Amino acid sequence: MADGTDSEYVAYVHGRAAALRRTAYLLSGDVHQADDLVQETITKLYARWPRMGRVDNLDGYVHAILVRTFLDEKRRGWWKVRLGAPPERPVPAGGHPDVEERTVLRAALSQVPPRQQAVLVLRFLCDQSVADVARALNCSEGTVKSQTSHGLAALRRILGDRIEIGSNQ
Amino acid sequence: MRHHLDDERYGRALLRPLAGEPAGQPRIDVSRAMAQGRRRRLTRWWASGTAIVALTATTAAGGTLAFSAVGRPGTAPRPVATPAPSITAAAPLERPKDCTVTRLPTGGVEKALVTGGDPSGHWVVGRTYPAGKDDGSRPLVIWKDGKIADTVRIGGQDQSFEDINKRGNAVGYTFEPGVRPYAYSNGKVTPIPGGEAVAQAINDDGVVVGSLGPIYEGLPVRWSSITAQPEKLPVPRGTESGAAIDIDEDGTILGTVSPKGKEGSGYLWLPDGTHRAMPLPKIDGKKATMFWPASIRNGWVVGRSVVDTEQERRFEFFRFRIATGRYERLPDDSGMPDRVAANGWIIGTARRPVITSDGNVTTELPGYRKAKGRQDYLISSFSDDGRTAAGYSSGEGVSNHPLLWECR
Repeated sequence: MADGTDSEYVAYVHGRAAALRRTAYLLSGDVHQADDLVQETITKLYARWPRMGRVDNLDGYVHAILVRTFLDEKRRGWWKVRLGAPPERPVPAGGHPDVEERTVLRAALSQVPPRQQAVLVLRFLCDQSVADVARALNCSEGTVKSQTSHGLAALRRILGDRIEIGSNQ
Repeated sequence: MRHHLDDERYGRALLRPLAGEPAGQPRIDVSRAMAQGRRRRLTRWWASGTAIVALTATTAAGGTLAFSAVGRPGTAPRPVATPAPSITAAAPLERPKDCTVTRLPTGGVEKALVTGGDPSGHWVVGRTYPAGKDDGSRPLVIWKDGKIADTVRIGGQDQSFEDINKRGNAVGYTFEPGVRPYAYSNGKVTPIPGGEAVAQAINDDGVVVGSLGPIYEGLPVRWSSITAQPEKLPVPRGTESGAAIDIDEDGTILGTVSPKGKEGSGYLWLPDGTHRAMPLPKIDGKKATMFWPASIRNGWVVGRSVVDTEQERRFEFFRFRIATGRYERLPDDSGMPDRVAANGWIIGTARRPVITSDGNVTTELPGYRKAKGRQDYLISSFSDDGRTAAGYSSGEGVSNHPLLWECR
């Protein structure tokens, strides 16, 4: 039934769905998981919608719900079950080089601790500032910077020599 | 020479291959998010209220005993209608017994919902979410007596059947991207006239009600048949939006009307052509801010009152008799009312679905055991004898199971 503010909620969700889905996709690396993440995020948002008038930065708030939902699901091990593939799945031989690179990178990223994954994706794929990431993860900017370094170090360790970058930088 | 790059440049360069846009159309379902979000609002309210005591007791009993032994009279510490002891002794109150739950078949599709059903309890409608490539389109299902009777594909996205009558005629809507109403009859799907509109309910005479205009911003409307032009229902001066949500067999229409800038409250359009706002119930001597109706059947309306204070919004559950104009407050453990049966029984949802029968005796229905983790239940259909219900569970990982409850 129409609760009055429902129309505002529907308008808001329709306006932000694409952006939320893109972030969810970059976080999870999977379209279906991204949709599930967004679905859960907008469900949580609706549950809290009557109190949203007090939130100054609604987009930032919703984004934080999305990131925390991602971390919660990671913690539950849901992703592993859903992926149905071992973390170190071999790169298919003879595939397109871009596809291989993506597969290797995604597999490596999934082995990095979840919070570090989120920091790396939000900063380097979603182009968010350290301050924005700190807000989304409810931590200090210093923690975001240290998690960035730890996450990158972990990625380097996992990847070894499999991916070379910088030659065309 | 990556060790010469700072974290910022190195990180961007390293992760760049993962950049990209997700393929396909979003698979999100706003109406389901709202239904489940609404449930969570209520669950939180419950968890912080006194009703938690009664619910815990029910769960403890339900864990070990046969289901028929669980229900008991409402324990709310407030005046509710209770039968006189002598009546109880003379004639045992009717109540649902030996309730069972089964998952409706989905042809191998894992995720599916029930969105409506008919008063005979024979017909149930729903939709499925097939695995694999997803374009936002939902194949719809019609079940009869627990078996798939038909599956239907309709253009647009996020399609649903909202209701079905005893003849097996269903109505619903799709997003194209504006809402479009349609009907299902004799195995065929046809658009309902009127352009952008929502078809919400159909009675056994084939009269359809809903709203005309954008979803949540339209006005209440009635179609005398699935092929008729829409007739706008009269609304009070100053109405901004409204919707008809359900229709009784005598043609009484239930809905809500929202004055400009305000939230909606219950409204009735009677068969004699008169129409009026539903009165507002009183809670502990204080008049409610609004009444949000959920369904109508045989002159009964169920729903909840809304009381706003500075700190919070509270809900109380009620059954309303149109003939007397009186509200009866339901016991807390009856859950949030979803549907009412012709015999006046109510099905609501708390932790699990609950049937409130004669004398406000409540019977909690069994949960679906094969579903993993904590489940919420949403009820979409209740038969006139109060013994068959349909709905779905919603659990972790946004999983859903379409469910049918049957009692003796």
